[in-house]
Amino acid sequence: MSEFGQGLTLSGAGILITFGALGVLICLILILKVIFPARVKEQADFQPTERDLDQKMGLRRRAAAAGVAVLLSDRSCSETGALGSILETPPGEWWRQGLDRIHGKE
Amino acid sequence: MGAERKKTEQDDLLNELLEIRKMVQRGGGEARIQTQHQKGKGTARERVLALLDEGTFQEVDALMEHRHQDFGLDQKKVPGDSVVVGFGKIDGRMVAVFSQDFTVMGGSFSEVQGQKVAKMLDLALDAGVPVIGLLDSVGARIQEGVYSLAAYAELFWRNTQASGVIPQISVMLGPCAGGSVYSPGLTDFVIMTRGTSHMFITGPKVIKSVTHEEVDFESLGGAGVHSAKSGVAHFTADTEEDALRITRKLLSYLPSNNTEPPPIQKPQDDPYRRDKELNRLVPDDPEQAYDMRQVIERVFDKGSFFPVHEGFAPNALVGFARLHGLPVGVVANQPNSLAGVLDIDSSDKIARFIRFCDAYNFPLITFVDTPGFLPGVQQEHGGIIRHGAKIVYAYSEATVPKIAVIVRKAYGGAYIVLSSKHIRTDLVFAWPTAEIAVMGAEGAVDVLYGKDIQAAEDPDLARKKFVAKYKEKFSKPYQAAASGHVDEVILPEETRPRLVTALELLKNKQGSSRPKKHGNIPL
Repeated sequence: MSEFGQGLTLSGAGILITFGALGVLICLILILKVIFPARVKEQADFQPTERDLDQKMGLRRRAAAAGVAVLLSDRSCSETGALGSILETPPGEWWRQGLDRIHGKE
Repeated sequence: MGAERKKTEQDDLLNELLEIRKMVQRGGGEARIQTQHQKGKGTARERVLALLDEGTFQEVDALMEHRHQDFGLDQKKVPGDSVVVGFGKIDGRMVAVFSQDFTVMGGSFSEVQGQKVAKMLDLALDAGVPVIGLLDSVGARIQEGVYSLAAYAELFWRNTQASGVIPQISVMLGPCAGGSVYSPGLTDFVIMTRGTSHMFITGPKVIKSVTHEEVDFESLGGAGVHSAKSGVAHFTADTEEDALRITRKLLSYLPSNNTEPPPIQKPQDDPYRRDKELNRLVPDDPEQAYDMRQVIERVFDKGSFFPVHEGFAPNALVGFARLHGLPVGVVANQPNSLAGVLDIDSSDKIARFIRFCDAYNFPLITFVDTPGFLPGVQQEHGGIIRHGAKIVYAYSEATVPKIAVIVRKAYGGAYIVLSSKHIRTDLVFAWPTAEIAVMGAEGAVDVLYGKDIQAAEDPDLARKKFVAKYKEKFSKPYQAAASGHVDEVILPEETRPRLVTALELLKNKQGSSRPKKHGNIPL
């Protein structure tokens, strides 16, 4: 057999083994699912108490507050706010008016 | 033929002017120029050309001569007399400059020198451009008598009129003695050159004859003395070139006049930069010193801090810096020197700097860490009340944006005077390490619980408990923040972006002051 043929045979064997193993695994999962069905009913019967809900809401509120705090903190010094851009131009008419008043020009 | 003759006549006229100019350039003559060079000093014109942008100097009054005859003066006439005066540019901005010519009668201050300088100052005032004086003179021209004195007085009057309108800088490049020292004394900044410049009212000989004290020129009025002891000099230079470099750098922060904002430079540093090192810069032990300069250099644009009066009253730091390219005035206590205490000299240093900043529209940013005013008989008798009051006066009077950062200690009167909310500081930030109290814990406990401590079974233990209780209340900034005396407690690393935002808010702040002739600062 030529070298090319040998390579082709080995590759084919490898693919067969891989997919075969995968098929066996899927079959195993399906068999186990049939033998041990999920207890969906019991889960559905669970009713959270008012306290559970309060705790859940409290946690949510706290998480939201923490998120907002982090966001505000980041925004106050974040690089999306064009910090300093106002300083890059000379002061405006409002400043000039104040200066004129101090210098007695009004 | 006629046209050719005319051209020749014109050429003669032009050549005559060029000859005159050459003569003017020679000043007091080649020999004196050589002597000046041998001393390591430049001539008046060399200095002006070195200071200004190349090719921008425009000399005026180069042909003025004195009109005096007495004491052989009629034999000593030099075009331009003993000063070179004119205009030019520094970094593309117009300045007026005068440079005393030591090669012409020792640069002595004559009537003509006075007239030339006065004319230039008047023009500078009208044009709203800074004035730079390059001083190198033996003093008044004795041969001219009252004419020389009158000329000085005219200069002093103009220095006063220009004060607060156009920046005035005196660069001391040689001697300056007698009454003449009042001109640099009246200007905003004095730069002295080590070794070659001296300033004093009366020289060593007169002092010896009057008080029998023996002193040399350098110890009496050298750059070292005036930058460290008297506070007359704001900057010290090693050489003439260095003095001119400092002048150019100083000017890069200053506006041309009091109606302009300081010159904005293209920002070179990240406005969002948070320096984590700031969080660990203040030591845990409140008694331990640290370098406030580190704080300043980490907060402001990198490499932009330019200290003024560096050698004088080192327990306070003042200087210019840039925040996102905008020049600001920085005032700070320096815990590394005398624990950052306020004394007579530091009060004068701070107050004068604040007033300059307010006059020329520099926002003021103050970093506070001081245990208070320095106690002692010497300080009390020296007038610490009067000098300390200057700081309150200067801050209260200032209408520019004022922002304070309380870094650590802000005790008693020092808390009040150093840019507290109550003297109209616009925004006061505090680091978590800030301690705002009437006095330190140890002293306060003695006053508040002295009797209880004495009566306790274990006075030491009782004392410790009271100190801990006091510290719990006042060694943190939260009580002051809760009452609004501090606007916000910030993380040290946040200081830079916070200051940038604050300045953005206050950039167009309108100051206000009641109409008056002038206030009466406790001088």
